Amino acid sequence: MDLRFVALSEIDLEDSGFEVPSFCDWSRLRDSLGRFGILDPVWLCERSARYSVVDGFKRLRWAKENGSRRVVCLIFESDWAERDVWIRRIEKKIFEGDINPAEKARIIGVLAKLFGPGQIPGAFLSSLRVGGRGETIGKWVKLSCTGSQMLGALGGGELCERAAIEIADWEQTDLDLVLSLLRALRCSDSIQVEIVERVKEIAIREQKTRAEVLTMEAFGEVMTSEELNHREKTRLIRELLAQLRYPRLSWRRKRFEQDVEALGLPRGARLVAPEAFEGGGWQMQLSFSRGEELRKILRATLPLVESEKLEEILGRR
Amino acid sequence: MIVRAPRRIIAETAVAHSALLETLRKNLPEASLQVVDRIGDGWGRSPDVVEVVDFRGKFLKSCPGTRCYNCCGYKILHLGTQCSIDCAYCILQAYLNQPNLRLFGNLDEMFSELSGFLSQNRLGLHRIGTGEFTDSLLLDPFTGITRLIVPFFAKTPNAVLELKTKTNFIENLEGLDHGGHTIVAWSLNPEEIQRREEPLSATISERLEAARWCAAQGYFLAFHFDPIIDYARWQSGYGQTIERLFEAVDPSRIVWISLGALRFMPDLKPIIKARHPSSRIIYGEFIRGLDSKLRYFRDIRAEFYGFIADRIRRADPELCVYLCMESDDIWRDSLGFCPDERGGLAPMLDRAVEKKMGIAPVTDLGFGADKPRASE
Ligand code: SF4
Repeated sequence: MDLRFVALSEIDLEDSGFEVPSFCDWSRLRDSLGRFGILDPVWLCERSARYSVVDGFKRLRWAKENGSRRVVCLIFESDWAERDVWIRRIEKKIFEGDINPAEKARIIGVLAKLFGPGQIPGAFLSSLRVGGRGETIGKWVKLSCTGSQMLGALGGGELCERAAIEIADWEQTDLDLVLSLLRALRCSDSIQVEIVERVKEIAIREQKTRAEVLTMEAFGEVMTSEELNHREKTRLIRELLAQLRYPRLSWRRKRFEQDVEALGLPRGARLVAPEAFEGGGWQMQLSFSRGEELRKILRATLPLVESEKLEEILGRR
Repeated sequence: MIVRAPRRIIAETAVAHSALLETLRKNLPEASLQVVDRIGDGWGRSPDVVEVVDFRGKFLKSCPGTRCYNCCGYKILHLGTQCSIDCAYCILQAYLNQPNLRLFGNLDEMFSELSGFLSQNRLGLHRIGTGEFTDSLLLDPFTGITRLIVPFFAKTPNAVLELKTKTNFIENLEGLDHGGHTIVAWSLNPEEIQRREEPLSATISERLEAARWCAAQGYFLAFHFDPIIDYARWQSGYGQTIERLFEAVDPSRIVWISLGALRFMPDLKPIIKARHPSSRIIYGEFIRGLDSKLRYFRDIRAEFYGFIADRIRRADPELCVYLCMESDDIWRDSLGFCPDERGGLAPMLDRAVEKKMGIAPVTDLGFGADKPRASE
């Protein structure tokens, strides 16, 4: 390895073979470069007539935009094997920290190529916080090949890591549909995972394609609404998915709400069903602030409690 | 069903001269033998291996019921662990650290614990089964354990043995002195579910044929629709299996039929997903039950039980049908009563044993045997 100044014209800026794209905003780095210039040497390797960039793609882009003619570089000479250069590149990336999921996918994809998916050294995997199970690594490798739309969403924080792993092996059409849904909803990581899992499970249950689930009319109505904001849309989409995933339970819940309303309990009295109607833990909740109020609620509630309607509600299926 | 003969026996030194290992060696002449001091956990899964260990735990355990659901008060006789039938829903898949077939070689200690328990508990009736941590008959062609255990129970005044299986490995039961104390039980499902989720087990026809043969040998029978699995054609599937059951065997030989819908700990879900990727059972309409297991939403369970119980009652209205691990409201909804109204689930099953097998719970040991003496 050698440290020297290299003219930009000697560098192949189009060669992205070693790039680990972050797909995220780099204005902070631009800002720093503007103030202090390149503090850290760019890494290059001698592969053909011109140098290939190993590390420092953004810095070089900045240098070119700002008319720099030469930059200080660390050179891997031509006798360096590509694999060894990559290992150093990855090691450096890991020690710099703050690897985003898009970069992580790319790194695991490269490691799987260098070592074989089952043979990636544990030290890399633990630094990247990836379980050593073949299935998990396989999903990361698939993720690394999904293309810039998906990796862009992942690097840009629109798609969380867990949801991305869930959808890594989906067909391109399904990926495009779910990505545009999640982008529009801008929901939390746990809700993203819930949505993705629900879509997947509904498709399996109903023997439909994921695209068929994602393009259901009811979804379209919610997503194209101009009155609803993204939070309301998220709530409605979740409700729709819950209904499709748990049709019987949803039906029973709805029926219960209707029945309770028809029962006409007085204000201050509330009938609460056990969680998922499981077990016998029904509750009648009474809220009041004075004794007279309680007596009034009880007088109005008792005839309803004595009626057959209540039995129907409790036993309905 | 084809018997899959283990090709490798690994035995612990302490049981290297046990009768069980000797029988295995005789019945598996092709299998290699390796004797080691101690078989630890995590030896790696291999369906060809059978481990014979010196079991240091309790052979007799209570059925792991929970307070939230009605439990049948059954006792489990623990003879080994794991099963190579590999049903998609099997709980044993979760025991990742002990994935191989494992037998307890110190059978003499098992019998002495069992005798000790029965002599100290001479009152009541003991319903004891072996099929909780493995299939009762899967390895019987090689171990011949039934040839020891069935005659043992024949001599007990107040205990019955239930052998639960999905195999048709019943040859060893021939000619045994069972004394009417053994129930041979099969788990049943529609053919479609058997083919999809239990493909290595005996077919439903094979199981029913085996049941018919056992009945002819004077054994009592039981059947377990457990796990009941939700799928599009479940009514016709379960209906057909019930029809075939009563065509195959005389209901008077059946001591009980249990019903239990699929339930599993949430941790099993990713395991099933990984090990049985084509199975759809985990995508049912599950909720978290009071015991934290995933169970079908209660209306679905009640509908299964009501339908199946009704079909059974059409064949024999008197047959003892019970629900495995269900709450009173499900009992009432599907069977029209709850166990407490009939004295509790355990006494209900005891009465079924008394009625069908003529073995009554012991209520009195005679003068002085269990009562304090006047001078004490
Ligand atoms: S037969 Fe029973 S023990 Fe064996 S795999 Fe199936 S469920 Fe498990």
